[in-house]
Amino acid sequence: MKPKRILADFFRKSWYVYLISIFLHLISNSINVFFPKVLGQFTDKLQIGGLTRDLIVDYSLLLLVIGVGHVLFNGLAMYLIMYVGRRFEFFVRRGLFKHFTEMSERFYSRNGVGKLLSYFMNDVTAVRESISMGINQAANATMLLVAAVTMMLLIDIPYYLILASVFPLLLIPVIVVYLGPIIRRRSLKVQEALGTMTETAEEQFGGIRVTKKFAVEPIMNERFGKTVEQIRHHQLRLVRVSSFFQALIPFLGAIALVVALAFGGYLTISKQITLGNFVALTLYIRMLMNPLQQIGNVINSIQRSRASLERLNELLSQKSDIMELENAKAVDLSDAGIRIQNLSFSYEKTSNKVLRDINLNIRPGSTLGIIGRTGSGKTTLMKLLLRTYDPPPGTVWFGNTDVREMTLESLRSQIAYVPQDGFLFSTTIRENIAFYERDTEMEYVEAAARHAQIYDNIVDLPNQFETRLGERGLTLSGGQRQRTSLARGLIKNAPVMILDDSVSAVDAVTEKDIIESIQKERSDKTTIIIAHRISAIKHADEIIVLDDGVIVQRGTHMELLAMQGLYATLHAIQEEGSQHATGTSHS
Amino acid sequence: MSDNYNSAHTFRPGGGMGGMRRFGTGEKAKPASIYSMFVRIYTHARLEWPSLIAAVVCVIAVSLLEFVVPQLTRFTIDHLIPNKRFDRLFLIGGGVLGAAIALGGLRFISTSLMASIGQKVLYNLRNDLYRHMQSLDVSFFDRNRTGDLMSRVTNDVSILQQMISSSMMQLFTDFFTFTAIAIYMLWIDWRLTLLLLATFPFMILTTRVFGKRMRSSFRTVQESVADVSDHLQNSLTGIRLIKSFTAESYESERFSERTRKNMDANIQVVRLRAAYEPIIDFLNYIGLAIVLVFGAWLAMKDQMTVGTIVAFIAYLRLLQNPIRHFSRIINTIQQSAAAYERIMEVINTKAEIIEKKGAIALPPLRGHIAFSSVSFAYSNESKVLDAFSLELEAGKVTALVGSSGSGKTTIAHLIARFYDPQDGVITIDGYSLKDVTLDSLREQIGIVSQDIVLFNGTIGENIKYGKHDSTEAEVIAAAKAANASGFIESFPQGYDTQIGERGVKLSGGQKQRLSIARAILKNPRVIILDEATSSLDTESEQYIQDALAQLLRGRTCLVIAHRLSTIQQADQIYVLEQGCIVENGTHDELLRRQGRYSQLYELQFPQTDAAQ
Repeated sequence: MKPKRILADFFRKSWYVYLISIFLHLISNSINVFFPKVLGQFTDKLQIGGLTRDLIVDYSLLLLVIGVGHVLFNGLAMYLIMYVGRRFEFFVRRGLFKHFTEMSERFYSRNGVGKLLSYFMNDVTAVRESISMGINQAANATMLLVAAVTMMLLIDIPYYLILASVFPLLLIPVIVVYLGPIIRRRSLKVQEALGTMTETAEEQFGGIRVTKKFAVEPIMNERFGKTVEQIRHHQLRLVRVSSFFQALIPFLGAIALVVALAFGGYLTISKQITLGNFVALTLYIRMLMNPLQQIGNVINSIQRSRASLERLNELLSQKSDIMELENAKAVDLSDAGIRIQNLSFSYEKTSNKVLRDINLNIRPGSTLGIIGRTGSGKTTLMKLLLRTYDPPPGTVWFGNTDVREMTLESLRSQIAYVPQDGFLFSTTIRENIAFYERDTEMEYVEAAARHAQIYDNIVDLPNQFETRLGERGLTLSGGQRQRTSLARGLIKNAPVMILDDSVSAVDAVTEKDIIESIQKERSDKTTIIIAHRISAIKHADEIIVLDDGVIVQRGTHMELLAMQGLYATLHAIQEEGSQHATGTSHS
Repeated sequence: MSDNYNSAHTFRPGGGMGGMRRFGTGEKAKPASIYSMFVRIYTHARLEWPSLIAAVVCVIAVSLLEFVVPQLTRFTIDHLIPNKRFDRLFLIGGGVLGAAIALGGLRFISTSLMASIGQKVLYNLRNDLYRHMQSLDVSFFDRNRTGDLMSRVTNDVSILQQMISSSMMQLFTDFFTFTAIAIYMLWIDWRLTLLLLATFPFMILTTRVFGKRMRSSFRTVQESVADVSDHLQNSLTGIRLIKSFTAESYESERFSERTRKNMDANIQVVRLRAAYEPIIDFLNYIGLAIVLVFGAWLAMKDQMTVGTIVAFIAYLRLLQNPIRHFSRIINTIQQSAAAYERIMEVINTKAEIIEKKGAIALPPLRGHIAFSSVSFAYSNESKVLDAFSLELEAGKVTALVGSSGSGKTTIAHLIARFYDPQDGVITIDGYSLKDVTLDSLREQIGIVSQDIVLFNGTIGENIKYGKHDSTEAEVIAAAKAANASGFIESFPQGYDTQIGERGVKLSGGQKQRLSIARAILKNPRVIILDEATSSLDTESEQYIQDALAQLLRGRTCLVIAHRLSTIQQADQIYVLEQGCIVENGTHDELLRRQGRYSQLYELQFPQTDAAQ
């Protein structure tokens, strides 16, 4: 993708606003030109004593009209340019967000939330600032510059003198070419430092409880302090080069003046040009200084924001590694079985295989239980089913369609996935449960809450279902969060439901009730339950035992108990506590 | 214009009486004035006084030099050319060149110095803000959204930066120019000047009216930025969920709603600016018209020469420049004031849990903890604990069981003094928690909880979190004890393996084991295990139980669990229901009692029961 995409796209869409704004600016400036003229006429009249009361009133009114005209057009131009800048910010942010939602799991495991936040907050703003005020200033300065140069050419000064005087100014592009990349590089460093700071802050606010538990606030302060110090360091480096740049441009202006004075003075003394023209030349050269300074500022800010623009464009050109095929199919999962054939998978090409030779056939409407140690590949298997990572072609099938040939929409909307961590959004409980269909009727929300055994807890809360959850739902206990998240999965009533260790923080009694109501509610639908506790999966039609990425055992609860193997061992360990206890009670 | 902005804040939601005490609770904050903002910036900047003075000297030198260059031109025209002094021409050229070099150099130095002062101020401000947030209670973080806090530390501070680094100098020079010219004009003709100054009250009035609105609009802008950042933070954290529910378009819609609000708020500001600046310009023109009319009248009565009027008008134009600049800067100032207010809201929030004066450092603990008739509710919810009493004996293992939501975690939070109970006393070795320093208390308590947070960094760093000066051998020993060394060593980089944001690349059980290793390394006197093993598989749990059994020996331990297998060896078990203890005793005693405990037990181990 070309580096200048977002800006070019935006200009293509809104060039006419810029054009109008610049045009208004032009009008405003041309009106302003009359001001000294009218003032001059007025003083002339005054000097020759030709002023009458009426004339005074006329002149003042004329000046006011000029003032109003100048001010009105100028204000309008400014409004337009700033307005369009805000539109830019809006469009880019919206585009970024949309892009983020399209990115895959891999992207998120590489980029922290704080880092992504920084793109929205710092980089978009930096670009917006340079395109809104920058364009106005540049337009203004260019007009003044053109005016001054035209006037210089119109009066009777030899062109070679003008050229000699203006020559130092022609060095400006050279300086821009030379210093520009340095400014951009340093600016990039500043933006990166800002990103790191945002990331550290975000992580810290999320983990504040741990920090407090370990009483390590000073260490965290120091850690954050370091990132702030980095920002300062890079900002100062940037300021040094950019203020050098900004000082250089008026300096070139001064050199131009030196040439005009020396060379022009020589020509004047040797009578090659008139004194009047010499005076005019120095005046015009001085007139160039201001717009030059402004243009310097604009170039400076453009260089800075280009660093941000590059960051944004680079981010936007990252492609998601999960892509829908062009002719992707929607598959109805309600009567499609799930088939996994010879599935082996590793996250990176070089790393160890997380899953090896998995073969599995889940009939529609059946329940599958998965048990295994931490790190045995259970969650990975589910991620492949949901295609948050791409499985190898021809390994995961829904009905007769490879998961890679399905539309993501049809896949994910028909699977209800309940993760272990019970993540809740900071909104009301009702909105959290009805996350799938926001306008679900209350009775269904309540029913789902009942099935997830969270109903009683919710109605005890002051605002019941309308209770807002604090940041990340922290006012609920771990078990309550899991059950709320379970209700969110249940209400979807999807053909396939995956419980990924979703009841681990729930006590035994509640777990039993939950499993029973799931069995009842989902009797004709496919359900996959991952658990550490045998109690949660023993009712399943088939149970597989995963160990180190391989299915080591499969069968029903009773069959597996009869076999000597990991399942029986796990069962024994889980029972051991009680046997042990029974033992002690007898001793 | 120090405190004329009070009314600008009444629009804020939940504005009540009283000063700024608890931010986020809807109580009204005492507005931070522009004046106090400058005072604070100045207090920070004052520490850099050598640079500050140098910068001011540079600025004055720059204005003087700028005056010199036209004088040189004038000299050339008036003297050199008529006198044909070719030789002097180069001298003048050299003079201009010298002046230009000096100008460039001085400008560079002054900008660099100001930037360095500004950065220092910001550095301190940002660190102060962050440090202050770190010192605030857990309940502060319960109340406030991470995104909102983020936007204060990043966005609001950056806005201040803009003002400090670019506008302060301008303000300073403009003020001097303005005063100098105004005095000079008074000296030329006081009547005209006074007449001219008649437009000033209108300018001040306009500035005040618009200033108020601008600030309140900026306030809305910054709040909407916080909203945007919060929504973003929330949805990016929950992105996996959003994807699995195919809610991308819905979330994008909600996000674009928020950015649109932000855009609208910004456009509101733009409107104000686009109206305000022309009005000030217009008032300037009126001033000019007044001078013209009155000056012409005086000239016609021969009380004033035309030359004076022309000169006066020329100076008037000079005078208006700083005014025009100021009208541009006021925008930045108001924006900064709104940002500053949001920063101060946090800084002025006092932690509710504070060490009292003369709090003592806890000596090494034995670990006897007692709750006596403690009542507690999170903010305004119903009570979680009501007249609750509990005793944890030193060196013993106490277990709490009960259905989720029965208040177990709350008890752990109260022991670490994350919250203060509304009623009753909690003592540790006879010291009331309120009488001891927080550091000495928390250093001796280790909590392993169900919420696992790992920080960006290596595995080793995360384990070291509990004790930063620990040796590598200690880290490895802790990892072994937590049954984590196996999987850590299987990574190519071992303990130096980087874990992504919040440890995404580790499984739940692996994360949990790291957090246990972290607590083991800390070697605390009191250990609280809050569902520490619920996300582990049975085997790892067994290993960890063994490791913990080693660790717990001789320490006070509170085990919170709903899985009874993990607590059977506890010296004392309490069964909690709705914040009340319904039963207590050892495992065997409780089983024999045939109460709630044995009911839970039977549900969990039906087979064993049948076998018996």
